[in-house]
Amino acid sequence: MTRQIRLLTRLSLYGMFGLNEFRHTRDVRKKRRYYLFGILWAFLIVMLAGYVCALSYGFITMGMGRIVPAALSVSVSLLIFFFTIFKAGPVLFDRKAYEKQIAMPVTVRAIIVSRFLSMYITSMLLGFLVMLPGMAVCGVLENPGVTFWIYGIAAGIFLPLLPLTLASILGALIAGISSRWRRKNLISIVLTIGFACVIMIGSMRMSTMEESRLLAMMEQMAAQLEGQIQSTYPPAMWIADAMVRGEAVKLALFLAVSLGSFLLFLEILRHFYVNICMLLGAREAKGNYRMEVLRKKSVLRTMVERELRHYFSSTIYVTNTLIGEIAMLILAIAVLVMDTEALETILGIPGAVSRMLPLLMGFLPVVLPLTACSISMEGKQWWMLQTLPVTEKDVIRSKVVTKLLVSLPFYLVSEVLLFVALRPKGTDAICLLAVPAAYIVFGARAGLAVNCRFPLFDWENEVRVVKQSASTMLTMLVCMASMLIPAVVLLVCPDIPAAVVYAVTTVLLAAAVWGMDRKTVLP
Amino acid sequence: MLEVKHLTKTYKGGKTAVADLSLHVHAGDIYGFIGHNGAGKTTTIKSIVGIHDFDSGEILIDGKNVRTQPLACKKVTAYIPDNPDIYEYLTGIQYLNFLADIWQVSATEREECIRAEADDFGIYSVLGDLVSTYSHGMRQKLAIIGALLHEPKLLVLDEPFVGLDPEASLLLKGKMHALCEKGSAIFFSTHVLEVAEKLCNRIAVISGGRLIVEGDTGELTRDKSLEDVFMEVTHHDKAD
Repeated sequence: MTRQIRLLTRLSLYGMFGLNEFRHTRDVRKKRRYYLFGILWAFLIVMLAGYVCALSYGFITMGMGRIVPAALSVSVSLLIFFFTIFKAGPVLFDRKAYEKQIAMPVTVRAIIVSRFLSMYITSMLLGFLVMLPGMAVCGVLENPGVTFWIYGIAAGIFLPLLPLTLASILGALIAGISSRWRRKNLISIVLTIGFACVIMIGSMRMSTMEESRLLAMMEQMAAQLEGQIQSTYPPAMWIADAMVRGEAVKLALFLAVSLGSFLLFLEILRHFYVNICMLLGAREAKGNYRMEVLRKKSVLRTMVERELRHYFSSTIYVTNTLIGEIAMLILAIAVLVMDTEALETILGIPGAVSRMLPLLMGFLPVVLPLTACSISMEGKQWWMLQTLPVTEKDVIRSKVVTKLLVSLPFYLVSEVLLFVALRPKGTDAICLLAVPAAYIVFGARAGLAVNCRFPLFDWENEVRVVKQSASTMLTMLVCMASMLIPAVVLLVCPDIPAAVVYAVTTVLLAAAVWGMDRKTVLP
Repeated sequence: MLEVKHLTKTYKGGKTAVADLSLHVHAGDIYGFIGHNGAGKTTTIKSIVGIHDFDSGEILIDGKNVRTQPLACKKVTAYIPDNPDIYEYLTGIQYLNFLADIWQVSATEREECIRAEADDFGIYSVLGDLVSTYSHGMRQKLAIIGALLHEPKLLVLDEPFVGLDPEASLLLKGKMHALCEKGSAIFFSTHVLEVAEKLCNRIAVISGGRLIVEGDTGELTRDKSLEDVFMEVTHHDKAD
């Protein structure tokens, strides 16, 4: 059994991030892409480490060093939970991989554990990337005993277990429910996005509480935070108690709860796993086709229709790329129903929400534009677009139009809500309309340009494309940079009128779109 | 209809898949392209249909250069790969309609063609189902129907008989003959030498990326079987 798990886990890890291809490819261009991917990761890791160090330093200098371990544990758990919530289902219940593996002499339990472990190992690495810099700052400034390090590392190893189990339970629930329906993908998309919205709105309410308490009762801040962590995620406090006070019992309690919940989940899932896998993969074949009137459509229309069908056929693709549009809608609703101060507290931009709103509304729908992986998502079917009598422009246009069509309803509803809430006039109204529109077009075009440069066609699971590819990561960075630059100008230079910043931003975005339109070449 | 002149293709990493290959397929030809695994058949085919670029040489389809006029070449060509990886998220009829729209086939023509061909291949009743529910053979049949929709001047097939049931194989051979009688040309790769011998009027044998034999089937085989000829020329080539 252990051998089976080891071999299957290794097999899953080989596919992740293209590690095996990197080791064995002789293609210099591919190697170069992997190096770039590595540099991007290193950059993100350094940024993350810097952020964690600064945060930990801040807590310690404010006299709240004792809550650093708890805050780190909560952050890691939340990070892992959000990273895996959209992929737990597709990874655990990947039917194609299941059919290949079950034909070998391996048990269902070994298959489940191996898939869980492949997510676990990457989550553990992510967890340590957050934990270690924070622990290092504590180590230098607080000089804790040796138990701090031993218990901290032990906790770090087991920390992903609970959030991963929770994300997997959600993934299994969504898979289980949607497998019973005819339109499985649609149900799965709706449920996943629904859960994500509940969590997003919940965390917005939590952060309002936290910040307002922070402002009101500075002297009781540590106690307040401890209380809040204790009530929302007690395991984080057990880890903190073990690390700071050396309470081994608390660490044992944390390990017991983490392992217990995972083993219980495994035992329950084992009984339903095969059924869910089969039902999710099963497609109803009616075999009763009657021809209706067939109509001729334009090339662009037929290509866009195919793109839309492709997009909505993949749960992981939709849930990961539509979340930005949904966040935009939630923000617009928040502007309508909440008072400005509360909203500014949530967003962390006191006194600047009206100045920053067009930028926020523009950035959210391009956090991860669907075009960032729309070329890669063609996968083994890429040959079709290569052999069809269509131009590169046709392909590019169809993918960009698809992104615009997906974003359009969210953009329109959000704009109506904002106009009802704020009743902007003149340049404010133009900025509120034009900046998000410019960002949506820019995001669509930038995602495609990056994906054309870094395509990935040889994948087994869509997770590899949507969540682990260089193209999505680079697109996210490009879009983030496009937002950060005007954001810094708006925040640091309050004397410059927002309309001027937005006018320059829009012109630059339009110029970038024009440039990409001239230069992009399909892979 | 198809002219390949001194085609050379080297993959990244240095492996030369096709070296200085030249061949000519005329209108009305059923041209069999045979060779061992890894001989360079699929690479040649992929270069013809525009999937792969190539290092040197020239490929002309209906007198047009695939490098300089790719769209014009693709408009008169249809390609069916060895593994029909076609859009699984579309139903059969959506897939066929998609292709018909791309080639701008009129509504009446496509309706007639789909009705007739789907009926012949026995997949008419499942056209409303998602391609993901189809077996390998059914996907192959759907890909064949899709390829015939716009009456291509050049039909390129990579191992077309793999996965087809005997009835569908026979039907496909009939369709290939019918298409050639209308003046189109067919270029296909196969490992099934009996099929190539019976079906093709011209045959080429490729080994190690180089064309080693090409000509009329009758002239090549004479009193021998194609299998004997193939073994003879490929072993002779290896010995060289």
